[in-house]
Amino acid sequence: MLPFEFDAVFAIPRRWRKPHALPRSRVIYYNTPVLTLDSLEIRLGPQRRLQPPDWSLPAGATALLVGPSGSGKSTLLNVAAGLLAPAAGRVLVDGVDIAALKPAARDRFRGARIGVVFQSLRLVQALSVADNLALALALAGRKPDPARIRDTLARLGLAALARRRPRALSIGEMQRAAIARAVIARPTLILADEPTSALDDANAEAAFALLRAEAQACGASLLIATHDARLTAHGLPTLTLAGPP
Amino acid sequence: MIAARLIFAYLRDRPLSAFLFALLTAIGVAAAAALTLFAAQSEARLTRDARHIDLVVGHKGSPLQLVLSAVFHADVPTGNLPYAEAERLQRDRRVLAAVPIAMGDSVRGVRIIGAPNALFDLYDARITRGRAPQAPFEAALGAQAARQLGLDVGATFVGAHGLGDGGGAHDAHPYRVVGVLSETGAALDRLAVTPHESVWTLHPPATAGATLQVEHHDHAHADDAAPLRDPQSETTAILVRTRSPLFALSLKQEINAATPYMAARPAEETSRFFALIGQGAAALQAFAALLIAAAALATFATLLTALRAQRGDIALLRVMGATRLTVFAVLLGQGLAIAAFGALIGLALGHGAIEIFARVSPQAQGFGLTGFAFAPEEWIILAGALVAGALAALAPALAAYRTDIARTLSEAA
Repeated sequence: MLPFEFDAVFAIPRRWRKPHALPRSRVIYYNTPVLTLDSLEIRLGPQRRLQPPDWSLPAGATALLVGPSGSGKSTLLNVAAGLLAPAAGRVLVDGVDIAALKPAARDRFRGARIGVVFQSLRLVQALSVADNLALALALAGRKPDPARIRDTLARLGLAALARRRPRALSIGEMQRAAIARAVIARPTLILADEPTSALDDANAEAAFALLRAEAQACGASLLIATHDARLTAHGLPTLTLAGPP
Repeated sequence: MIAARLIFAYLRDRPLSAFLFALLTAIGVAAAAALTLFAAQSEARLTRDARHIDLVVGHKGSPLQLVLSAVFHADVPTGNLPYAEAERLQRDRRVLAAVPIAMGDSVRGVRIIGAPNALFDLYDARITRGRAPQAPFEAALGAQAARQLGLDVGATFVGAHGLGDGGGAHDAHPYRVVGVLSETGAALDRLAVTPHESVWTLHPPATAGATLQVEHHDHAHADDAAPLRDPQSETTAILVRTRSPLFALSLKQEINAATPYMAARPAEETSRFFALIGQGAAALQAFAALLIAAAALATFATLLTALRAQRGDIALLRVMGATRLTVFAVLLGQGLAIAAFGALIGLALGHGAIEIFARVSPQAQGFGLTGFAFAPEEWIILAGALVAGALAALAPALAAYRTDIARTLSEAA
């Protein structure tokens, strides 16, 4: 252990030390990977380890992460989001080894660069829909932008619900609001964990379409972990994890 | 500030429970504040009352009773002593002024004091209206007494026997108000002053035996211009102002050792008195602290429950980019905000209670209470309430700080 955390941030020029202040290209280079798994090894249990293949997600692309229950899809997403440290190897988001960042820097990096959509955990319960989006902007280190919040909610058909609390929303509305929350700060990577599993066919299809459209609108890459056959039927690039032995 | 906005949002999300726990804190803080205000203001009042008097001489008994009766006019006198002792004391070189006062009657709660006009000089009081009393049954009213009785120069009143209400009235000898005194901030404001002769007329003294045996250092200094009086006449106590506080000490020891009378220093008795009632006040303060602690405990319980309900939120906040420190601050801030809100309500309630007490209770007026003054100790109460709130929120906040997001997410899914 080094006497201080000599991490990847030190390799970055001082004025870019705040990770969310790293330069972002306006142009989307389709060949530059936004997410890279590099000889990754993740602990799933006392004995089990997940070793996903080396893989990368190009900028602006959409891919599915599939595998049977218990294969570690959610865990891999948590590692990609910097919520869980890998046992070995690296995860690069926008070229930054997210596990090597200091904890607070990692949190800010996640807020600025990664949008996450869950199956059930969608919005902060104490805040209205619009305030959830405002909070996402603030946590991403961005200026308040009521116009963008209004536009995003309008695009997702939530304009009338802006001042509602999440518990007053239907599941479909809540999932759309969660998508709005994930894209509002223009992340470069959107991670979605079973975003459609709790929805009926019509809502699932609509949510998937919105997710793709919104990801495209802000130029983000999209990785969806799912075992939902409705999504796998779309023929998207897929990273498949092997099930438990 | 993100954390501040979230704290506000969470409190607004369950306003009733936040308000109830704030109210619980408020009750404790109100009790502590009212006690503190009462102690501080009554102590200030007693100190102000006794400011001009270094020594009281009276009949042997309890020194505290002597001081309470003769300086604060709050107790019955210990007994009488010869009027001549005042003149002897006045001749002592260490004494600046020795003023005899006779007590026994009152008018609607205002004590009538028989005293020479030197009493006004002792309290640095001036006559603002009318003149000083010169003949028996002429009276000068203290500023507060005049307001309380609603009397002014030219009015008459009848004294009642005894120091409280309900004594027999001295109807045959009404007093006439000839002057009103300036505000001094001392006990004189609450008195009616009349020459000794009035009191002697109403209460013919029993023959006193003993004489004051004070050792006089300088007889040449003696001022024998005293007017002719019945030498056997008595007075109730003698208020003494010495040239230096040190003289008060030596004079007190001499009088207590060498005469059948008793001397007491108001400063000393006041502090003894406060040491005495301080124990009762301390018990009440402890009770108030207990109330605040109970409020903190309740806040702790509710925050811990809230934490369980908010676990998903906390995980989501972290996913959205909030640092550990931010979620820690959000939880701690909720406890602090409840405590701060409660403490402010409590201070307002405490001050309000004192103000209402001061307006409603006639006894309170003697203490000069007001709800519109602050005691420095109130900062300690405020700090104590905030510390209690912070302690209550600390464990939930630490739990939020340490939350394993990945595990919470897998449980929530």
